[in-house]
Amino acid sequence: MRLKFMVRTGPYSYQNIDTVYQLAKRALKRGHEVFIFLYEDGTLNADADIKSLEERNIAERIRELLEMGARIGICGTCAKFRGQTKKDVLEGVKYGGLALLVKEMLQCDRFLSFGY
Amino acid sequence: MDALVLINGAPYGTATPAEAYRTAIGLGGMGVDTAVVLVEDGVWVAVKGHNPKVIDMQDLSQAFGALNQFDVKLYVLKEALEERGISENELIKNDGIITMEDLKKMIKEAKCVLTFLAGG
Repeated sequence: MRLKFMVRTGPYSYQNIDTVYQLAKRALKRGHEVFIFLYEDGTLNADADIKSLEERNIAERIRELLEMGARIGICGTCAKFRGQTKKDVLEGVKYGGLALLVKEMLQCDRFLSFGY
Repeated sequence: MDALVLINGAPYGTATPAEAYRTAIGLGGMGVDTAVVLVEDGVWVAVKGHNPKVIDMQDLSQAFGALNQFDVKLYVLKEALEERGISENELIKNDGIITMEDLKKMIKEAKCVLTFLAGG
C-alpha cells in the first residue's frame, strides 16, 4: 500500500510527528511504501541540528525512517519562512513545493493529514 | 473529488486558514479537483466585510471569495452557521451551504482530505 502523510506541526510541542513516526515505521516493516510531506512548522522536524537532552530525538527518528526506505519531502517555502536553509535540513530529505505534494497525493492508497 | 480541504479556524487568530487558502489555490491551479469546506469557526472566513487592514493582514474573505478563479469549490457548513447566528446573506459568494450529512459523504468520496484545523 502507498501510504502518504502530511505533517503541519513542529517537533515536541505536538505529538503528530511522533504518531507519524510510529505508523510509518510499522508500515515500512510490513513492506508498505511511505512518503511524508513536512509542511508549515512540520519542516522543523527535519532540522539536522535538533538536540534533545534525555528525550527522543526527532531528527534521528526522521533519519531512521529515511534509512528504512521512507521518502520524506519538505516544503521549501515553509522552510524559508522559518529561516531554515538546505544545510540545516537532514540529508536525504527532498525539497519540493505543492507540486511534489500533489504528485504524491494523486498516487496514493491512503493519505493522512496531521495538523493540530 | 481529489482533495477536500477542511478548515475549522477563525480567519485571523492563527495562520491556518491562510495556509489552507494557499494550499487550495495551489492544488486548484495545478488542476487538482479541489473543494474547501468551512466548519466550526472556519465559517467566519466566509462572512463578508472583514477589515484586517487594521492588523496589517490580508482580507481572507475576499481571498476565499475568489477561489472559483482557481477552479476550487467553496462550501460552508450549515450547522456551524446556525450555531453562530450567521445567515446566508452575510456570506461571500460560495458553492453551497452543506449539512453534516453532505460533509460525511464528501469526506468518504474524496481521495485525500487535508485538514487545516486550528486547534485551541
